[in-house]
Amino acid sequence: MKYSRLSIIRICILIGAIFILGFQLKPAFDIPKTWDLAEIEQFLLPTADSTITVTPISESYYYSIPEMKVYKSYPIRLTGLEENRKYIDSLKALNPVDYFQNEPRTEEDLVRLGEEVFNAPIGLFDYSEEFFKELNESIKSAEIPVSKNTFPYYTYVVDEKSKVKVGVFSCAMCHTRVMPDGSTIKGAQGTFPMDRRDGVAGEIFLKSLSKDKLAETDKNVRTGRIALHKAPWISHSSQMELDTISAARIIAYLKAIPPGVMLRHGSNFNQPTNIPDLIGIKDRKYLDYTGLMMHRNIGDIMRYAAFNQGFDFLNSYGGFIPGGIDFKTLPKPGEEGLQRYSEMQLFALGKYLYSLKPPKNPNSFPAEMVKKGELVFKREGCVTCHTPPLYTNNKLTPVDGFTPPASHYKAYDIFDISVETNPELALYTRRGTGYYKVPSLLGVWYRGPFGHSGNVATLEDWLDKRRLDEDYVPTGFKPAFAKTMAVKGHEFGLEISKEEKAALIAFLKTL
Amino acid sequence: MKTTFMIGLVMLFALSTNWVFGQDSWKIDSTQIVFHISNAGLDVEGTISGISGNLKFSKNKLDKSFFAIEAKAGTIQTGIKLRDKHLKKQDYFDVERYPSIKIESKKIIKSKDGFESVCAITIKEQTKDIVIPFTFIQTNKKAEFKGSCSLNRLDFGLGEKSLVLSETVKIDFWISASLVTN
Repeated sequence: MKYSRLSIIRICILIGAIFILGFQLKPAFDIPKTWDLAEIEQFLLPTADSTITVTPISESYYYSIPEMKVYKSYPIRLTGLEENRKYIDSLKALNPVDYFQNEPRTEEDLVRLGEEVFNAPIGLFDYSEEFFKELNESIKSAEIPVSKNTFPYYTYVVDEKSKVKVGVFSCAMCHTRVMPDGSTIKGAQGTFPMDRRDGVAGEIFLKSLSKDKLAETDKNVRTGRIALHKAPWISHSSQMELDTISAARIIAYLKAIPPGVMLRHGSNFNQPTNIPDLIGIKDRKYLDYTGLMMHRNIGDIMRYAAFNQGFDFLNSYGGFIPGGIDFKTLPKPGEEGLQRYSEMQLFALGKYLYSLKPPKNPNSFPAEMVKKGELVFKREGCVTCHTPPLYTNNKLTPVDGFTPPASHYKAYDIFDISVETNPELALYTRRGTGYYKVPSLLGVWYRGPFGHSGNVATLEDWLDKRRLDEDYVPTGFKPAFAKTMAVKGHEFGLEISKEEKAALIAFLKTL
Repeated sequence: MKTTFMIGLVMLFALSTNWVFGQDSWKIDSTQIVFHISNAGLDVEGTISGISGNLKFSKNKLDKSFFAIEAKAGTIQTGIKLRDKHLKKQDYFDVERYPSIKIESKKIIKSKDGFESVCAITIKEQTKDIVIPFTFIQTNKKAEFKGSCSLNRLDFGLGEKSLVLSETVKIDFWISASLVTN
């Protein structure tokens, strides 16, 4: 059998094409499946009330939701009005840049693209000059910390030519910290007081409202808050209040939340959550202050992001669906503008979060002082839970009022002692598991406020035994309508001398 | 015949009790049990109290001496209230289910510096043999038993492996006792 020269060339081209195509189709990365219900079952801790079954949406539902696109974001510059007009015009001239149009090929690509996912907003609205003016006003009225000439929590997005949109609800919105010198730390406990901003804006809106619209407004705002915070199986007063709460009262609650703390969906008005530091997340075994989700591998980071960027609203909590129609029925996939991250986007986000490094520590203390502080740290027993080198034992501590079921001792890492802090976040909210995780002390120098609800502003306050008194005025989050409040529990290092306390804090600020 | 048999039985009983209790019996007056464990390189000291038990000891009848002592695990104190609370929980002493720590001698011998006893120590229903060297000083009807030993906490399910907490626990004890019978 003889082949012509042309046939041989054709065969060679064909073989070459198959080889190239095959090479391109071969997945470059081993990407875990995000919505894997068998994995999710282990990943999610049960609610504190174990009679409530949490059922996430099915795999087919999740994967039938359209994927979102991650477009290039641009900073929001805090300039004069005229200069801003020119800036917006320059953005309008740009073409949209879809970051995931080409698949990443290397780890470096993944980390770089992951940062863009971190920055990518999941909510967009059209830019208007009104927005820009209101933003500048709210920075003043809600005392929002901003970096040098930039509003670092939102971005501008160009997703179609000659249109500029404002992007909100990115990971970066809550996990960007503005330091006193105006520099920013990505991934750290954020400083955007979103709730306070909403409270201030809501107050202005409410004042402008005619009396006949008040009842309707109350109802609408309440419905939104039920979706955000309600756990109907819990009969605690904080949950019952949601059924009748007025807009004015909600506004008062919102205004009480300081930077670094958040009225996270699934938490509640007087049980907000401290915003966690994502730097070092690779070494954490549990996510959320209540340890709601396990972190066994990058797949769990992908699941965490998927759930917390919207899909936990579609969980059924014993029949209650926070994001459901009438809180009962799932919307059709793709309805109400629901989008999901692609698997590659979530994988890249995980890689980026794993790559986060703490900023250079500017603190400098005398070596003797730090050494002494370390000794105090060991002597006072801190080292048992905040064990080096991670400065956490990565365990869950049951709160007062919760007895771990026998099965939990095998399934989870339980450090079987309550440190007697306020148990409400862990008991009376949707995110409540009956536990608080032991937080790492790495990076406390750039963090604050402290405690699972951010009740004290500084380490000095945390180690001040006056916080245990009923007439104490919390320096961090102080619940609305409370003039004073004891910040109870975690009674370690409260009886040491002033000198030892200074040394201990110096040591902690070197971590 | 019947009477002879009864006398014989009584004598046998008397002989057997003498065989067992034919050494000094001591009443525990006061005790001190102090343990030490290294945590992150620092020595943590704690105490356990609530000691009771039988103490039979004659230095010249060692083969017939023995002791069976119990301590109350729930009395543990280390100077940090919350740590003590934790030590009583399931992952350490689990005092609700296992309120007592038991030590029973199996054999007592003379040693160069005093005495040595092979003892069965039981914590959380885990029993291990350990050697406890001790001294005995008698002054009239009073005596002091003093000694120390070490054990591995993991042998008894006391906590788990740790980066900072040592597995070895050193125990020092001191018992003051009064002579009851001999």
